[in-house]
Amino acid sequence: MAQIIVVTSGKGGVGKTTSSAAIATGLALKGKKTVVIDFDIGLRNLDLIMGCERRVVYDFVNVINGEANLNQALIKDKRCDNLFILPASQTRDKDALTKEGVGQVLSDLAKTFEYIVCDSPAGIEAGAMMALYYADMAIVTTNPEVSSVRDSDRILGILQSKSKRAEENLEPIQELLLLTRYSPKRVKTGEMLSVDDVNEILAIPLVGVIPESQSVLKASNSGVPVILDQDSDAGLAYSDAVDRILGENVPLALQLK
Amino acid sequence: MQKPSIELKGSSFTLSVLHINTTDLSTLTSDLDRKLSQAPQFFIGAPLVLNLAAIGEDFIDLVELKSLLLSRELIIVGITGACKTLVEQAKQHGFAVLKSGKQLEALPPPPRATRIVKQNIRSGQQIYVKDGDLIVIGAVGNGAEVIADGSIHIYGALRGKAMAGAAGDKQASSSPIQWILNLFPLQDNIGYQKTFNMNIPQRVVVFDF
Repeated sequence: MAQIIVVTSGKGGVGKTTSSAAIATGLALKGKKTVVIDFDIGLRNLDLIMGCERRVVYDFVNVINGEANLNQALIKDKRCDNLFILPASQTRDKDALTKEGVGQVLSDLAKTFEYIVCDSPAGIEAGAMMALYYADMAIVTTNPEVSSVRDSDRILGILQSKSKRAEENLEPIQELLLLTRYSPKRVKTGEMLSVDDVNEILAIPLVGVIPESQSVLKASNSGVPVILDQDSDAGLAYSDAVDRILGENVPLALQLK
Repeated sequence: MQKPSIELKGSSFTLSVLHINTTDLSTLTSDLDRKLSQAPQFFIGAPLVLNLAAIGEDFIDLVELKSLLLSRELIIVGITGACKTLVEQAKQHGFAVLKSGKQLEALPPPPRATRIVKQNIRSGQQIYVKDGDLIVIGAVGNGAEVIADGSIHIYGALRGKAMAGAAGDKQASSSPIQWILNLFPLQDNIGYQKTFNMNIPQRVVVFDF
């Protein structure tokens, strides 16, 4: 049975797409057959971060509308054998997604993939609701600042009340906190919320702390998921996060202490 | 289709109530005759309810009273306001025992159901407990609201809104709102609250976990 992971946050610009790309790549590197779906219809970015922009022919909306089949729309990653990308449509808007259509595509993907990573758009509107509705696990991406923490709290409330698992009274979605753009130096000087501060408010298990790093921007611009840059602390932190998603007990990296 | 032989239906009638203020039958007889003589036609065949409240625990023979009234063409349909022994006597002789509207005991207030929520209330979530108290075991986040017609107890940080006594229930005063806050180092741990009934005594319990 495939596991559906939604990468969500409520707030924009906190690193959802970067994290989706890194985590999906990391899972594939671990030998898991993985697909990453861009739910940000109309503002697609995932294909850029994954470096497959020029290979997009058919997209998610085409599949939902029956204009293309899944195999035509899925893009096989050039670096990882186990990784596929389902891009968003750039010419449509969020209303192109229907609950039934998304459910059908996810259940078709679940037949061949072990992990389905859903890259959620920002906000709490239709697009974000679609991305989280069928999730088994939610990676709540949060920056260590108050507005991002507040929005993450809101998203957690939605996960607990509006998701399929909540509506059908099934076991709740597994919620994990991913802190991104973390700067231990600024925490020390009191300019930034610490891991403990964020944990105090959100009170969900921590899956990883990604340090603020030059390598993230560099990786995004060159279309290479940052997890492939194993010389960078951000890449290493994503690798640790992937290990924790797979259930391994990895201690937080030392430089954060 | 043929109608059934009997049908039971509710209906209301206006009945005259005869207040019996003495157990002395001869006084009763003379007073009754004087009353009837004022409007003899009006009372013929009139159904009456006897109110026996004034005579309290004293004994009166209901059978004799009935035959007295029957001889004046008045019909007793039942008694009201009688003491226990008179009620027994009335039942034996086939009188109906009626309760007047005023005698109906007030219904007890519906039981207060307490709802216990064992989770953090997230921003944007709202919990409302109608006719009851709310106990939250967890934090109430910024932008979250907890509302109850009764009292609210929060075992955790209150960063959002708590509104107790939302239906304006004055009885809520016997169980005041309590905030049980754990002392967090965060500055925004204060939260704020509002009561619809300002007479509710407020007590804040600060509890250090």
